[in-house]
Amino acid sequence: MEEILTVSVMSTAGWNAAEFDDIVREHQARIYRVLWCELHDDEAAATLTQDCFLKAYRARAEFRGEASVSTWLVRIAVNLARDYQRNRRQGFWRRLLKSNPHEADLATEMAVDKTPRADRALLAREQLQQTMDAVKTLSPQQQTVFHLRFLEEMSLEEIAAAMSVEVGTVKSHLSRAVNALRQQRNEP
Amino acid sequence: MSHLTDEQLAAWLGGESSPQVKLHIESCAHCRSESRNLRDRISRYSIALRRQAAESQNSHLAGFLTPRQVIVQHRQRWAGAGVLALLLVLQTAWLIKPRPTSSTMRPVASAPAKAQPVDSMSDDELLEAVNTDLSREVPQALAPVSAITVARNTIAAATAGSTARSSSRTQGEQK
Repeated sequence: MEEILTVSVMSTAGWNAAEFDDIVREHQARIYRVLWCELHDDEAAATLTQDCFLKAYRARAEFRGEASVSTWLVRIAVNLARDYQRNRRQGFWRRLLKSNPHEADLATEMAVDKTPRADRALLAREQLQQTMDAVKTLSPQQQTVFHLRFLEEMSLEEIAAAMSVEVGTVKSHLSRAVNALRQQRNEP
Repeated sequence: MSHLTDEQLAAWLGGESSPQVKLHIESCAHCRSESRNLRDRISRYSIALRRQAAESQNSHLAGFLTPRQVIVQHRQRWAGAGVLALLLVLQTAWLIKPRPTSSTMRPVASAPAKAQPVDSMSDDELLEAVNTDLSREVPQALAPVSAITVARNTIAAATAGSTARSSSRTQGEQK
């Protein structure tokens, strides 16, 4: 949130090239993170981050300042991620989830962790894994909303603007995400 | 007593809940536990994903180019491709260009053309002069030398012919 607030909202269109370089530096990490959470693919996230800024640079004259720069960039990133997923056509998420690097990391950490506090750590990791599993049950759009809300700490309005949906839809997706987390907790 | 709905909890987790929800959480142990548990899980999830994204970013955004750099790179690639294409076209044109053959060559001019100042020549005359010059078998400047060589070869051939005749005659007489 604070990142968004620090971004100056340009009232008029157009940055010069040097100004845009500053924008790239400022938002690069966030855009990469958004794309990475969307795609769970390092290479694709890096490529699409580059594409996102290139697209924004070419369209910088069209930026009207109605939303923050950050929201505008996230919107481009989310659209790029959707296009990318659409182009992959079949079973992208299924294949991803089968070879989820998070799970592999967790499994490795759990296997090597033999400290006295292993029980607590194990519990924490189990909870994390459960949360990940619960998030996976959400639709791609619900996952995007969940990530933008709780990872990127964007407001409901910003998420709605970034995803071109109504605020009510964002609330509905978040509600569904919370429900999934609660349901999973209640499972034996 | 009804507990908080998913939507109310989602709002509370996002820090946008109403005062009534806050009051309810303070007074309801179940909802307090539920909300804390959700908050912890989401926090842990966010931290884990942020950390993993940061690690991935460090290794995969090392060669990140700004849009300016990307555009420059694209232009350089296109320029390189253009130069290559041009070279290819030129080479192909050179290869398929018709060469002058002996049948198309004009005979050597019998007499050197009068040198005419280029400034005073019309385009057609200049073109004709250039064509004439190019069609020479021997450059104009070497024409006298060529004539001498031809003459020398003729003399040498004649001398060789007479020597052969005289030697054959001598052999006949000896027989």
